[in-house]
Amino acid sequence: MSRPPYSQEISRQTKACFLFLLDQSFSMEEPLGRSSNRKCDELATAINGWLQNMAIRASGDEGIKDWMDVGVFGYRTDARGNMIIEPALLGPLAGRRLVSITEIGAKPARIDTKVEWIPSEDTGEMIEVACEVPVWVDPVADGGTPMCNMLYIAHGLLSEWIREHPHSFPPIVVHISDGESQDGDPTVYAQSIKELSTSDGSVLLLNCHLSRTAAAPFMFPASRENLPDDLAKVLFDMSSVLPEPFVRHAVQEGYAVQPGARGMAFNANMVCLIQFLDMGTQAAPGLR
Amino acid sequence: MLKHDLALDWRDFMLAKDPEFPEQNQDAWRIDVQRGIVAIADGVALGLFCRQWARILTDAAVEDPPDPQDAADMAGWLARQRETWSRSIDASRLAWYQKPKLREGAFSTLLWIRILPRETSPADSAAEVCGGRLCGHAIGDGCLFLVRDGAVVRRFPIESAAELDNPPLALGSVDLGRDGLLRFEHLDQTCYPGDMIVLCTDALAQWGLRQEESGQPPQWEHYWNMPEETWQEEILALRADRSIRRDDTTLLLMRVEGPA
Repeated sequence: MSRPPYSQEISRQTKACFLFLLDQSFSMEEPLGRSSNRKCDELATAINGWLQNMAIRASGDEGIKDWMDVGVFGYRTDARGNMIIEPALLGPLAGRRLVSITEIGAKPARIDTKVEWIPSEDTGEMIEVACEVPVWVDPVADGGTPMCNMLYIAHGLLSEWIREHPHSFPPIVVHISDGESQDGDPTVYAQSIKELSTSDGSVLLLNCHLSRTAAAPFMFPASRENLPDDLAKVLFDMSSVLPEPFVRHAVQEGYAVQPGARGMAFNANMVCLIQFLDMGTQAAPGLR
Repeated sequence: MLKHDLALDWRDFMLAKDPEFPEQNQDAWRIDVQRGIVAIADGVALGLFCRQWARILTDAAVEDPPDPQDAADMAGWLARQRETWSRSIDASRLAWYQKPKLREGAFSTLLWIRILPRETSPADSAAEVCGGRLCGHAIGDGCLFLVRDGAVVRRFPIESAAELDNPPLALGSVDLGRDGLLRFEHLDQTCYPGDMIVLCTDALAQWGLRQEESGQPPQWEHYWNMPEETWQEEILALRADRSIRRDDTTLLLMRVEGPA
């Protein structure tokens, strides 16, 4: 029986792959939207939160099921303009390009303690509770934006992974940036990534733009028309068309998604960023 | 032998979602042939210690069957099983990623049946006199098929494959204040010598119902003499062509036997 694309179940035998590409340029030190928090801080919090949720979701009685490989890369330049494109995971996983979700769970760089206010089970009143917050990446904001080189390296990494996992659900790449490429036209490199595929479909490249402005965020545009500026149009061209399971999930979540919608968020704030990250996992079979 | 003349013979078949890790199979079942009680349960995949919870529930449903139609009895029974589950876990040994799930607890479906003597009347036929009373209760998507002369005469509690596309109700191992939402289905059916009672978890049930709906009903008796390994190979082949969901799969077959 033939099956539609993007329907491969995620399991130990057919692992998933998520690759995060994080802009670590100087402008990431600016505030995110209306918040007083820096973009790099919010981004690190969102990525750490995503990794935490994935580890919890994959956990079972005997530990964490090895059903996913994860990579987190950062890209920037140094004071002389030399590229720094490297894995962003810290601690025991430092320097690792791709790691299993099992290792993510077992080896956070550290576990911070954060105070949260939650309602008491007995009285309903809000009480302070200390919560463990695992950390794998820290905020970085320095130098320029070698986006094309980042995409080139990602292409090589994904090609290798696909050779080893030819029948898996296609890798999902989440690229988060706040500005333009400073080393060329990224659309060509993005197209090369989108042309990679497993037997279940093409790699999905999702692009999220973080903004310091208070302009309204928007997600999943279906057309270049009415996009606010050239940067948005470039990101549109870079982004994959959302496959049907993702469209269906987006509609269920209340997004007004039209045919041809792209995996793109523009002027994203923190809420939008988290929703965007969650989208990539919720729509994949077996990860719901 | 049961208290009346009906006897029960049985076969069991299991295949884990991940056959390389059979110990992680979250289905559970228990049978007491002497008392004619059988239970089957399916732990929810993303919960924690659901396998243990499913086993606690099936053991208790057979050893000390509750009455879901008596709210106080059901509440007390559930509280005892929750206490058993809680005592079985050493929270101090949990990793950071297991602790959030522990607060929510484990979840499992549950279906149990019992064959009881049936009250007879002078108007009963010779065949009816030999019958027993098949009583059952279910929460979730475990399924029973009652097969007579090669045909399914009763499905319980699920009647169509489409019903199995939705997440099932399940019993939780932690009281989250939602027990008022639990809804049990009830079965009270006559069974006769020669009947076959099929109990299975949802993946196999959905396959069976789809086969019926497409005009190619499964021949459940076909599995009676089949080695478990052969049955597992058939399930793996169905998974490979995506005719059945890749999930823990359990099949119990029980033959109702009468007096010689």
